[in-house]
Amino acid sequence: MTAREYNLAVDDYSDNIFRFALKHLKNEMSAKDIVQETFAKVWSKHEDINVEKVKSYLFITAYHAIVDWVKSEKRSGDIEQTKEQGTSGNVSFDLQSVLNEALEKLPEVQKSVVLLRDYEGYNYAEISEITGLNESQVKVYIFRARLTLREYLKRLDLVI
Amino acid sequence: MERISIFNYEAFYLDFLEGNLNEEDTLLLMSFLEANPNLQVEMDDELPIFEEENEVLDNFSKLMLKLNIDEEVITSENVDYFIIAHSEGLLDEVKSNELTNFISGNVVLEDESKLAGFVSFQANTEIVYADKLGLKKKRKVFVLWPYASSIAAASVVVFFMSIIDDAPISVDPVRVKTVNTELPNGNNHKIVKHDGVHSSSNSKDELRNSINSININQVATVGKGNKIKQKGVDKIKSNPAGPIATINEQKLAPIGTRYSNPTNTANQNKEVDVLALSPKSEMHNPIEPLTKFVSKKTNTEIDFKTTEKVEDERRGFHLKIGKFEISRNKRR
Repeated sequence: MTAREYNLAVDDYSDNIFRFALKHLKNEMSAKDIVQETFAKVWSKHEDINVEKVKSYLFITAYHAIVDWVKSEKRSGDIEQTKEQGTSGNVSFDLQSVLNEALEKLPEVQKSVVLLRDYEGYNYAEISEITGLNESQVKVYIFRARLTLREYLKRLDLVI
Repeated sequence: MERISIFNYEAFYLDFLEGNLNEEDTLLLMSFLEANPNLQVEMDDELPIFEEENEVLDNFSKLMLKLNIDEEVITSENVDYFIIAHSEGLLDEVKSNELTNFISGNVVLEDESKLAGFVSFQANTEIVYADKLGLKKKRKVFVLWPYASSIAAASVVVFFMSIIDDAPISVDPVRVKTVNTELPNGNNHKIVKHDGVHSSSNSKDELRNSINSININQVATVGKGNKIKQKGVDKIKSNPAGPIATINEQKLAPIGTRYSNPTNTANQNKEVDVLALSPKSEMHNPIEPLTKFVSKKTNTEIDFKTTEKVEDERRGFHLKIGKFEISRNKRR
C-alpha cells in the first residue's frame, strides 16, 4: 500500500472506525486515540498490506485496540461508571435512543458483531475474520444480540 | 479391635446424618460417642444440601446449538430463530413464505416479527473524525533541484575541463607541425595549419614566415593562459630560428612521438594526410542516462552534449533544459 492509497483509506474509513470506537467506548477522546492507534499500526505495516484488504485490516486492528481498551478500563472500573451514566438518563422513546441504551446492555463481543454487521454491512465471514471468532459463533452472537434487543424493546412496551 | 475408633468415627457420623447407617452401626456409634464425650458431636446436626435448580437452557440457545436449523419445520419453539433469520436476510423465499404463513393471524408473533425489523443500527454519518489531515502521510515530493544542480555541476566541470585541456595545445599544434617536418633528414617538410587550412612547404624560411604569419591576436584571445601563449609566440617572432630549435629539443617530444619515426617522406606525408582528414568533433552526451532520467521525471526536454577535443578545436558543449539553451564551441 502506497502513501497515496493510505491517505485515501484515511478519507474513506477514518469516520467508520471513529464511529465504531465511539459506540463501544462512549468516550470521544478514547475513540480518537483508537483511530490514531489503528492507522499508525496499519501504516507501520503498509508495505505488507494489500490495498484491497485495507478496510478489513483497519477494522481488525481497531477491534483489537477496543478490546484491549475495554479490558484495561474494566480493570480500572471506569467502564462501569460509563455504563451507569449511560443508563441513568431519562428513558427516551426515540427508537434509536432506546436501541442505543439496549446496545449498552449487550456483552462487548455481541456489541461488536452487531455494529460490524449493521454499521459496515459485513457478512458473517468478514466479521469472523475481524473478530477472530468462527462464523457459527458470529451468527450465534448476532442472533442472541437481536433477541436481547427485541426483548428490551418489548419490555419497554413500545407500541409500533 | 473396636469397629469404630477416633480414626474412622467421622465416616460413621456422616453416614448417620445422611441416614445411611444401619441400626447395628448406629448403636455402635452412639456407644462410642458416649465413651468419648470430648469429641463434641451434635447428633442433631443437619448436612447442608443444595437443592436442585430449575434453570434450563432456553429453546433459542438450544436451537443455536443444532445443525441445519434452517431445514427444520417452523414451530412455536423455533419461530424466534426464524423471525430473526428473516430479519437478517438469511431465509430463502420458500422458508420466508412458510414463516409468513406461520405467524399470520398470531398477533403476538406478528408484533415480534415487526420488532425484529427494528433492532438494527444505523450509523450516524454526522459523526466524523475531524483530524484526518493529522493521520495522513506526506507524499514523497520529487525534488527537481538535485538533478538540475547535478546537471549544472556536470556542465561546469566539463566547461572548465575544456578550458584546461585546451590551454597547452593552443600554440603547440603549430609547433608540432613545423618542428616535426624538420626531423626527417633535412627535407624540411612543413605543415602549417592556419585557420583550419593545412599547407606545406619545404624550406626553413617559409616555415619561419609561416610562424610569423600566425595571427597572434587570434591565439591570444583564446581562454586563460593567454599571456603564456602570447609570450611564446612573441619569443618565436623575436627569434624565429631559436624557438624552433628549442621546441624541437624540449617541448615537443611527447607530441612528436606521433611522427617520431618517419623514416621516409612517404610515411610522413601519410601522417599529414591523416591529420588533415581527421573528422571534426562529434557531439555526444557523456551523462545520457542521467539526462534521460531527469527529462522523464520532469517531463522537460533536457539535453547535454559535448564534443571531443580534436586538433584545432576546443572541447565544446551544448546544454538544453526546456527552452533554455546554452552552448559553447570555439575553434581556433
